[in-house]
Amino acid sequence: MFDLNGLDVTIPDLIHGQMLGQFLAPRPEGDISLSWFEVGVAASLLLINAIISIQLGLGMAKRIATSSVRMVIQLAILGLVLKQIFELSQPAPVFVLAATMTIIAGVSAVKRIDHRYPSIYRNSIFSVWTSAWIVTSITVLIIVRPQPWYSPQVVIPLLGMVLGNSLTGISLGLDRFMSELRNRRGEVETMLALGATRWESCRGVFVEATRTAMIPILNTMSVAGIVSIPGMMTGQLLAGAEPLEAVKYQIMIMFVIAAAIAIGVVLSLSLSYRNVTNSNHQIEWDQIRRH
Amino acid sequence: MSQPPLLQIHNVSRTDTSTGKHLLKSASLLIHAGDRIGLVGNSGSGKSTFLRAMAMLDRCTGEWIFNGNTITKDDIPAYRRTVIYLSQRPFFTTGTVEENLRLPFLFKSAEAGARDSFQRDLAASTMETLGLSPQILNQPAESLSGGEQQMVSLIRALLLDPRILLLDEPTAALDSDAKLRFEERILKWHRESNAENEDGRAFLWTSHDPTQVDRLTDHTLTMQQGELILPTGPNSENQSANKNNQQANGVG
Repeated sequence: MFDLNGLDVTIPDLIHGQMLGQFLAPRPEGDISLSWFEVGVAASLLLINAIISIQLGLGMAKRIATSSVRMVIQLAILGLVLKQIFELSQPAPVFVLAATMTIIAGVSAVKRIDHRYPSIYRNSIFSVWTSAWIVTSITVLIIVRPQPWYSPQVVIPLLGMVLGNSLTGISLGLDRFMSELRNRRGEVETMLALGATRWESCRGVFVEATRTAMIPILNTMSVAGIVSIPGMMTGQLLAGAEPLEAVKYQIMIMFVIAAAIAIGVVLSLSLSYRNVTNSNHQIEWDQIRRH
Repeated sequence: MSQPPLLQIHNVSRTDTSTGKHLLKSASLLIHAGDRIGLVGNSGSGKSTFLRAMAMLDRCTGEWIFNGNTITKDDIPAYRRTVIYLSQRPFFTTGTVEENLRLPFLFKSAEAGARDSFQRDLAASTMETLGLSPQILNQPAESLSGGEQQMVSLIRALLLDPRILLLDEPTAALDSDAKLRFEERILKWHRESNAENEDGRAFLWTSHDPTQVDRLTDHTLTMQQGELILPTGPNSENQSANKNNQQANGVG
């Protein structure tokens, strides 16, 4: 009597409490596809947040609504684009999508940074691009080796994961670098005035920023599998993969992500250091503006 | 007739690279060994900008000639430990006073500096002349009072055996007693040198207090809206710097 799976849900069904059946109905084994109604149930959970926000006067209700709508629209577009690209299975569209994703990641990495200098966007895009593409190329061409090599099903999700993490690292690193440089202006200037080179005066700031950027991935690695099952592994398990296979993939991706972050962070910080200092061992304070 | 200047700066200008505002307008100055120069001007007139420009701490255009040698980018760290800019707010890293005094000797430029290793005895005896107990060498620098910090910052500079000190309102945060000790120490450092030989020393001192400038210096320059104005106040019979500086303007 609970086997209502596959039936269209109508308002009267809901009214008659039959949606419960919808939940409890066993699916055919291996089927994890969701209906739009099921997605809607998940969306309604967010209403709780909205109600709390309104009750407590947090002023977050609008943010919650716009963020949710944005997420839905962005992912829907992504789904449609991916569907097209998967069907085409040509290298050029894969390349165009990958490049677009990379540029968006480079721009978003700068979004959260308060103090900027003029070429920061260029540096961020360059760093994201270099780190993510080197690492993703190695992963795709040497480790995963899909057929064909540009297989969008492999390249796009892998690149997406690497980009997301690299962008977070670069963003954290740059933000820390710029704010530390300003907070420690007295220290940096004093060292310069006493004969430090630009590197000697900025080294402490650089190291601090690198550390800040690397901490999240190191934390994630050290608690992986204890606190939560990582995202990619979750996906593979849901799709019916062997747990040990899923684990192998997850370990590989963790290393790859950590490498991408390390490369991206060091690159973006080195470029920033070069841009906010000059060869006369001066700091270009004038160039640093608050946004 | 007279020995070559210790430091010559020619047409040094500074423009804020993001707003385009002219902060320092083509300043030229000659400093001879033995000079004691006062620099006065309203706040915001560019006194600090000028002193920082002399120490090449900001992007400027112009020419800096120290002891007859034009300073190029690779000379700058060593130049800055010879022509030391002392800011009005001293800064210390975490760590003891001694660690802070040692810091400049860890820089690469220490090899090119006049004094290339830290001398604890000298640090302790310099402290005593400023009325500080050598005991504080082992204290965290950040625990010192504002006045003590300014004294330690002077000691840190003196330990590098500089030729020129650029003092940016150094006594603004000191009480009158500490102020006098600070002034005496600078004058003593200046007297120890001999204007006739290679070791001649000079200082530039900015202050809001005209009596302090009269007391300490033998000629006075004025900053006005980013322009260096020479000469002013006949507070001394020694007007050589002013004459020299007119020559310097002629050069430019």
